[in-house]
Amino acid sequence: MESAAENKVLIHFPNGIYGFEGIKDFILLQEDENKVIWALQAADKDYPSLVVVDPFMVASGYSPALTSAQKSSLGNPEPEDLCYLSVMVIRRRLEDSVVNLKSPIVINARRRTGMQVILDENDYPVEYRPFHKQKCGGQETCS
Amino acid sequence: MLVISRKKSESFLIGNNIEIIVTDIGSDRVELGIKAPKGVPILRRELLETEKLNREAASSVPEKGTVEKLKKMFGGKG
Repeated sequence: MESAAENKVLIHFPNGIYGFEGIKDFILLQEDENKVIWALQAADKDYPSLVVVDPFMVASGYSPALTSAQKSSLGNPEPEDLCYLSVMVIRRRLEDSVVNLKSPIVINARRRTGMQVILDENDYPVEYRPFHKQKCGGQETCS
Repeated sequence: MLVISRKKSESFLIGNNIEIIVTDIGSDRVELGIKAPKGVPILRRELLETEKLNREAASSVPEKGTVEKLKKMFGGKG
C-alpha cells in the first residue's frame, strides 16, 4: 500500500465493517516491518481493535475477484490503488488462529476509504488456518 | 436434514408464507428466488460467519509478544 511508509493511516468505512456497522473511521497501523501484520483500530475509541493480515502473504495464490458493484462502491479504483486485508482471529494456541479469506477488507488507498466485501466469485474459507497445511477452497491452493 | 430435489422454476414452501423458487441452475451454482414477508431477515451464511468472526477477533486481545511470534510463524512468507 502506497501510504504504508507512514505506518498509521486513517481509513473511512462508509458502512463500517460486519458486526461493527456503526463505526465508520478506523486507524490502520503497521505492526511489522514485513507489512504482513496490521492492526485496524476504531479511530475514536479503544474498541474494536482487530488484527488484520495481508492475505497475499499468508495464502499464496490468493486472487480475490470483486464484482462491478463492489468496485463501484469503492469508487472504481485503479487496481494498483486497491489494498486487501484479512481479519485474523488469534487463538490461544497460535497455530489454531484463523484468517478470513472470504470477506477481505478492501481499501481504496487513494481515497482512503474501505469496505468489507464478501467474495461471491471465490470459494475461499471464512476460517482459513494459515498454519495448517490445507487447500484453501475450490481449485486454488493456498500454501 | 431434509433434502429435496427441484428442477428449474420449481419451488417449495417453508411454513405458510415463505416460498423458495429455483430460478436458474448453472454448472456449480443455483440461483434462488425467495418470497417472504418483509420482516423475515434473509442472510447469506458467509455474512453471519464474517460478523461472528469479526466480533471474535475484536474480543480476543492478543497477549504481549504475540505479534513477534506471529511474525516468526509467517516468517518464510514475509
